Amino acid sequence: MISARGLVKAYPTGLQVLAGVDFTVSSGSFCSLVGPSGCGKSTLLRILAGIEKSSGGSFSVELADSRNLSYVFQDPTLLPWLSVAANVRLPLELRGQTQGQARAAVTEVLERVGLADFSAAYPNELSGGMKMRASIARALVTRPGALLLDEPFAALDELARARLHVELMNLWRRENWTALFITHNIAEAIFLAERVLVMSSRPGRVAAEFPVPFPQPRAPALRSSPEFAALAGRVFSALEATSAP
Amino acid sequence: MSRAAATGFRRLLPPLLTLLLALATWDLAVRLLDLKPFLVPGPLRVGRAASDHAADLSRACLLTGGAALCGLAMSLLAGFAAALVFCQARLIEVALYPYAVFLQTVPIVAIAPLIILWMGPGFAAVVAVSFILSLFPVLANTTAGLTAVSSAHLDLFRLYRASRWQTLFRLRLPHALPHLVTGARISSGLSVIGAVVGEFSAGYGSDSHGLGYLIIFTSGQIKTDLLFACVLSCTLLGWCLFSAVSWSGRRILAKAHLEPV
Repeated sequence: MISARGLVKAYPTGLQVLAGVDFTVSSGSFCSLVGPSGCGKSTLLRILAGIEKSSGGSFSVELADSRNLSYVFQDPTLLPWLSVAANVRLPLELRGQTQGQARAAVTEVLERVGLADFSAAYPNELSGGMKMRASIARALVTRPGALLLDEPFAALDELARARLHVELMNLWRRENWTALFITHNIAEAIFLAERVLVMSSRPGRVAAEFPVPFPQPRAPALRSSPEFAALAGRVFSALEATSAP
Repeated sequence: MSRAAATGFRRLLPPLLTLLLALATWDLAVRLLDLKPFLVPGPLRVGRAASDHAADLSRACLLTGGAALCGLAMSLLAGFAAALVFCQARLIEVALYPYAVFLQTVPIVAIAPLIILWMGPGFAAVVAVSFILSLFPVLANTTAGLTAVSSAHLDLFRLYRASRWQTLFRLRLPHALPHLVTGARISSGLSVIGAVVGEFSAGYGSDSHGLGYLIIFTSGQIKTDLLFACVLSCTLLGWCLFSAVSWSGRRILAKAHLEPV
């Protein structure tokens, strides 16, 4: 379970980024967070991941069986001097595992994201979509209990993005980690999640919340259904209402 | 002719033509302006002086080249080590970096005699001058490479609670390698200049002379054609060292899947 109570982030310069964020993502559920650019979405994720400090309020990340929290960055952030397999192996090696100990886990996760044939390739030889797959594989190789995703598909073309949506959902349904997915794309937020949180413009707080009733597994055709469009319209209105003109 | 040889030939042809054109212009200028050989000797005269003193020149090139190579090697080791220290503690970097800039700004011609005074003439003193002149580019570039790691990659390492050593060995060092190569390329030319300047003030002994000594000696005797040959030898030596360092740097970076900077 991931939860935040009155989470505040302000910089010494006086800039307030988060103004009391409240939400709960129950264990094993997939939650999207949409908000206008600069509303503090990424800052919130970085605080939850322990990369940045909050200035007030509280948050908790509860993970079963001492599993870890993983993070998929906006950019693939692969190390260009390491092969795909070595990049994916990195979190395990940083934990002290040897190449041999990590081999099975790396092979398995590369298979799951469809990169089994590219384990020896280098990042500059991959397309944008494949780089992001490798980045997701790196996040999943530690068998995390929760996954934070910071607009991971923002730089991809429509087709690659739609494919990765389906793949990400399949991975989630199989492995059932808790997911918090940040995006500014409303259709993406709805298509992936069981619940959509709407964040206000800076200073950010959670302004509205929408359950997503569509059953799993979802097909790409869902996006063109009237129910999907209606929900997207309501999310859009909520987003518009919270954003200062 | 194979395809690779043809490409190589096409790549070599333009600089070769430039060289021929420059030599022809030089020769023509000397003839038409009727320049005195002791002021500006023509290319043929310089060539003859070089072949007459081929043995002396090649021995001098070996000595100067050896000293430059030693100076460069020391710069690489010391510059790399100092950069490692700088990247570990910001305080040390801030405290020492301004003084490292001294190495770049100190008039080397003026302090070379001092170094020889302290170390005594000979190979070690020449190497020391070459080392001082070529240290800064390695130090500055490697420090930049070690510290200018992208914040996203640092976040990644922080997320997995990587230790300082893990971050150094797995992130900072590979990231700094292309910068180190750039520093080494700049320093390779400087190391030759440093060795020649060192030889201006210090000889190696009675019967072994470096290019720096030959330059002083021939200019004193107004053997301008041989002086030209010496200067050209210096240039050629620097060019060879630069090319060798560039070539090995490219090979190393390609092997490590790193882009040159």
